[in-house]
Amino acid sequence: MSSSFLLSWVTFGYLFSALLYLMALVLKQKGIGRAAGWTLWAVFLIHTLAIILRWVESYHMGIGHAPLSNLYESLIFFSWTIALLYIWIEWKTKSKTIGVFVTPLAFLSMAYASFSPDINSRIQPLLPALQSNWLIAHVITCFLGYAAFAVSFSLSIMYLIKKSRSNPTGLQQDASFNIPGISTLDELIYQTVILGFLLLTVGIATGSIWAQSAWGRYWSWDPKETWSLVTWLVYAALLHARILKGWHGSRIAWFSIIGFACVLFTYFGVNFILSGLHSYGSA
Amino acid sequence: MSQTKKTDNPLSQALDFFASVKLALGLLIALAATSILGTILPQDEPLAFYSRHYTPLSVRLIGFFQLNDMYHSWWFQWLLLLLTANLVVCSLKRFPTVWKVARSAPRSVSERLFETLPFHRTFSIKETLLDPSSQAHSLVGHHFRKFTPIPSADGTAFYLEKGRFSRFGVYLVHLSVLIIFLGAIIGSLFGFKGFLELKEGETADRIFLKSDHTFRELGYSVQLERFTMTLYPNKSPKEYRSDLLFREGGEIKERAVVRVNSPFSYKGINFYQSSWDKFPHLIKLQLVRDGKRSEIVLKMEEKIPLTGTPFSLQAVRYINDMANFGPALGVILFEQEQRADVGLILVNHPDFHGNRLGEFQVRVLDLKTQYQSGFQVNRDPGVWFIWIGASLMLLGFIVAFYFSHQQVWIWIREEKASPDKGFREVRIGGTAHKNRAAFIRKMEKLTEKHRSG
Repeated sequence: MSSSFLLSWVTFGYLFSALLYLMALVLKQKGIGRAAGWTLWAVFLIHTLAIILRWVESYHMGIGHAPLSNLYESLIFFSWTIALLYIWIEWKTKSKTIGVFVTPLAFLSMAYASFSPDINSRIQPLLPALQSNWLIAHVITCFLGYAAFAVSFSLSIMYLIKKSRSNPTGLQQDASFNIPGISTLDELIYQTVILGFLLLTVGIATGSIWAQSAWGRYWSWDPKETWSLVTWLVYAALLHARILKGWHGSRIAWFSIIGFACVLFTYFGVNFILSGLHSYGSA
Repeated sequence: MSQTKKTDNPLSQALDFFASVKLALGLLIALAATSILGTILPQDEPLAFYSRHYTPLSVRLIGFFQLNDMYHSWWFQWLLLLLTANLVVCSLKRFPTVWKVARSAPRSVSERLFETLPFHRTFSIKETLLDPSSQAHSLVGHHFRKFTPIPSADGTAFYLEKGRFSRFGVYLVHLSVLIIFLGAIIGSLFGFKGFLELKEGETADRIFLKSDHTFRELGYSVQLERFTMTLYPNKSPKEYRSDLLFREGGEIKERAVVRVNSPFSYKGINFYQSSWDKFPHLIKLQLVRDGKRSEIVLKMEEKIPLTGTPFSLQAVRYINDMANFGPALGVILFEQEQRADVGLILVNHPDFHGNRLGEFQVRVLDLKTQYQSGFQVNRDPGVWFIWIGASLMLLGFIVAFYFSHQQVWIWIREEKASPDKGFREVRIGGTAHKNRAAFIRKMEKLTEKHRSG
C-alpha cells in the first residue's frame, strides 16, 4: 500500500465527512452528526498514516526527508492541520455544525493537491537550500497558523450566514442540536485568530532564522516574506480593533475573511503570480 | 475640565494623536497596503529598466517615491518612524495607569463591590467546624496563588488573585517590536553586505559591497581551495561545498567548509555559499579551412593570432548548458583587428555543422574547466537584537493572550436574614481583565459543588 493510494482515499474521505456534517445539520439528526465525527477521525488517522508512509518511502528511495518540501506536500499537510484543529474545536465545543464549514476546506486542499495538473506529486530529493531543520519548524508553524486562520475564516462565514435575517440554512438556535450561538462564534473567531497570529509569528521568525543561515539575511523583502508580513499586519490590525476599539461580530468576521484572503495570496498567489525564493524548487 | 485642558494644549493634543488607536490601525493598514506595491513592481532595478516598461509619468512617480526600492524609500521609513512614535507614546501614556492598577491594594469588600463584579454569587453554607479562612481556601484556594485576608468590619474577607503580570504582556510585545527595529538599524549602520567570487585556487583579501559599489578590506585573506558539487541520481543538485583557507600575514590560520545552510564565520565576518559557476581555463581548438587543419591552445579572453593568416581568435563566453546541447563556447573571429564573425561552438558535438566561424570549421579538442564559487559575505551586529526581539514578542503574546489578571473576593458572614442560626452567608465575586467569559465559566464550575451542597 502506497501513500498516494491512501491519500486518494483521504481526499474522498474528507468530502464524505463534509457531506455527513451537512446532512446532520439539515436533517437535525444527532446520529448522522456522530457518524460524521467518527468518519472524520478515521480519515484523519489514515491521513496521518499516509504522511508517515510518504516519509518512510522517501527513505526507501535514498532521499529521505520530511514530507514538507513542495507544493503537493504542503497542501497535504495544510489539509491535515485543518482537520487537526477542527477535531480539537469539535472536542472543545461539542458542536458538529462548525464541521459543515471547516471540513470542505480540508477536502479542497486535498483535491487541489490530487487533481491539479500543475502539481507534481512525486517525491523529489531535497535541494541544498531546503536541507535545514529550520525548514521543518518553519513549515509546521506556518501551516498550523494558516489552518487556524482557515478555521477562523470558516467560523466567520458561519457567523455572517447565521447573522443574516432570513435564515434558510437551519442555523438558528436549537437546544436539542448543539449549534453554537452568535457570541460563542464571535469568541471562537477571536481565539482562532489569536492562535493563528501566534503561530504565524513563530513561522515568520523560524523562516528568518533559516534565511539567515542559508543566505545571510534574515529579511530580504522577497514577495513571500512581504506577503506574510502583510497578513501579519492585517491580523495585528484586527486584534487592535477588537481589543482597543471593541469591534465585534460582523466587522471582525469580515476582517478575518480579508485576513484569510491575504493568507491564500501568500500561499498561492505569490507562487503563481509573483516570483521569488519560495517558488517551490525552481531556485 | 480635563476635556477643555486637552483641546487647549497643542502638545497634549499631539500626544493624544500619537497615542491613538486610530493612528495605530491606520499605520498597520497603510504599511500592509504599501508593502503590497513592492511585491508587484519589480524592485532594485535601475531607473532605465522602468523607462522601458512604463509610461514617462509612471517613471517620474517611481523616481519621486523611490518605488524602485520602496522598502528603503523616505516615505516608507517615515511610516515606520510614525509607527515607532505611536508605539512609544501610546505605551508610555497607558503604562502608569496599568502600573497603578497592578500595584494598588485590593479594594475592600462591600455590597457595591460585588454588584460591579462580572461574576458574583451569594449562597449559604451550613456552619462547619472550618474557620472562615479554611472555608475560603476550600472554595477556590488552590486555583489562586495569592491569598490575602482583607480587613472587614463585618465578617471575614479574603482577596485572591493570579496572573497580575499578564497586564504587562502587551508592553513586552511593543518593546519587542522596538528591539527588532533597533536590530535592523544597528545592522544597517554597523554591518555590511558584500559579495565575493573566487576561482579554485584564487585568494582574495577584500569583498565587493553592492550597496555603495566599493570594496571592503577583510583584514585577512581567504582562498578557495576546492569547490565540489554533488548531484542526486536524477541530476538535481544535492550539495554545494567550498573548502576555504584563511590566512593572516601569509600564515594559515584556519580551514573551513562552507555549504548552503551551513555558513562559516571568521573574525565576525560570515561566509555563505551563494552561487557557483564553471568556466574553461584551457581550451584546445582545431580549425579547418579549405581542407587545411591547424590547432591552437588558448585561455579565456586571450586573443590568439592564427599563424600565416590575417585572422585571430578570442574565446569570450562559456555556457554550461546551451539549450540542452551541453556546454558551448562563445568565440569571436577577428580579421585584421576587425570583428569578422561571432559564434557559439558546441563542445560535446564536434561535428555539428553550426560550429563555424567565417570560413573556419571549429572543433573543440580539449577543454579543461575550473569552478568558481560565489559567497555572500556579511557582518550584521544587529542580528542578535532580532532574535531577542522575536523571542520577547512570542513571550509577550503568550502572556498577553493566554493569561489574564484574575481577582476574586470572598466575604463570609453570619447569616442575618435567616431565622435559624448556624448558617453562613458566602459572597464570592471576581473579575478577569481579559477572557471574561472563560473566567466566569471557570468560577461557575469551581463554586458549583459548594453552592449545591
